[in-house]
Amino acid sequence: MKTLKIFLIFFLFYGFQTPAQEKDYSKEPGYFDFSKIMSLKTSDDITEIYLEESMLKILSGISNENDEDLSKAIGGLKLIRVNEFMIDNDQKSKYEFTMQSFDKDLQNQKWERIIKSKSSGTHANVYVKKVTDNKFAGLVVMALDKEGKATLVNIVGNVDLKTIGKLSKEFNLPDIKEKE
Amino acid sequence: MNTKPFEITDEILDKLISTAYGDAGFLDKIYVKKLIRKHENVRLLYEQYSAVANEVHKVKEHEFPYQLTKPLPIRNVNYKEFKNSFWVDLLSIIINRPLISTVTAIVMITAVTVSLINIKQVEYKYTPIEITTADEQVRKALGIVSKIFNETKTTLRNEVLGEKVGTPIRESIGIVNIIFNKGEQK
Repeated sequence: MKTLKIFLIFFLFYGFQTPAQEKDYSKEPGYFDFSKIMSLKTSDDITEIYLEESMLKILSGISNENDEDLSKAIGGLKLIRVNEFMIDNDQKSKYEFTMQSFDKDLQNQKWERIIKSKSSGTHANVYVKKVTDNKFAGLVVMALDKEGKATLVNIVGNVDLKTIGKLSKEFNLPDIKEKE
Repeated sequence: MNTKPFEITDEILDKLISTAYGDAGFLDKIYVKKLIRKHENVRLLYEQYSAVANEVHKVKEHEFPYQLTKPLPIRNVNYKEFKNSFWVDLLSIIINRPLISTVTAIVMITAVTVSLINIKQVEYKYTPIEITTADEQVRKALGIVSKIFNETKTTLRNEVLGEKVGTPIRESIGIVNIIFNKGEQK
């Protein structure tokens, strides 16, 4: 009888508490935890984006009328996280070392590196988590430019690389607003 | 002695048996002795009963074996200790208290429905400004990814194909040309 009472109390409590909880994306196959590298930042975020599935679905619905490619690109996504921040020169080597360590971690976790670029002080690595041959469950971007701007991106969900590629011209405009 | 068979009624038979076993009363004994003397068939029957009664009286009392007083062991029975489990509690409530179980079911269904409705409300509780900002952020996020793709493509085209591969090839062709020119002059 005691077990039943405890169960009922728990059930009622859980039933009313559930809506207040945030969805846990860390169990998603396309999720990657950047917290280790975030400790290296020496300034506030230049850009911080955290968009969840519910918002992305709304945006996909709205974009569908005007921008079919954008709607297609974000329709299957569950989470978009972007962090851009500055790193001091003395922390650069540490950041590069952490990038290398993440590179190993990601590849051990069956992430596929599709881009590894290193050119005159600029580093960029792009990884995808494959579900099947043409289907991806996540995308991770880690980059560092000459000025010491670090970029971390994690897109969780059904990533449509072809559509993102098609949107490149539109998005790569110089007047993209940045967080002050 | 009368040889003609005497009709033995049940009452007489009871008296005959009682006398044979020595349990009969005084008058019954006299009556039975009288019949025995007079009738041959009564005498034969009395002798048979007397013989049996003698054998019965010879039987002595025996002590009841102690082993038989022991409780019989239970064998080949799968005995499971009864424990109060959640399901037993639940079933007992459903069976014994139908009213409580009905109320509990209604409360549970209400809780689930309320929580589902609340989840849906949370999902779509965005203001137009939030949606506009999110739209800009999505474009920016995808823009950052595209920018890295483009930069890599540019690096590949200019630095790798142009300088690291193109320049040595051009230089090599220049050297070959010089060698050819010198050969022709000779």
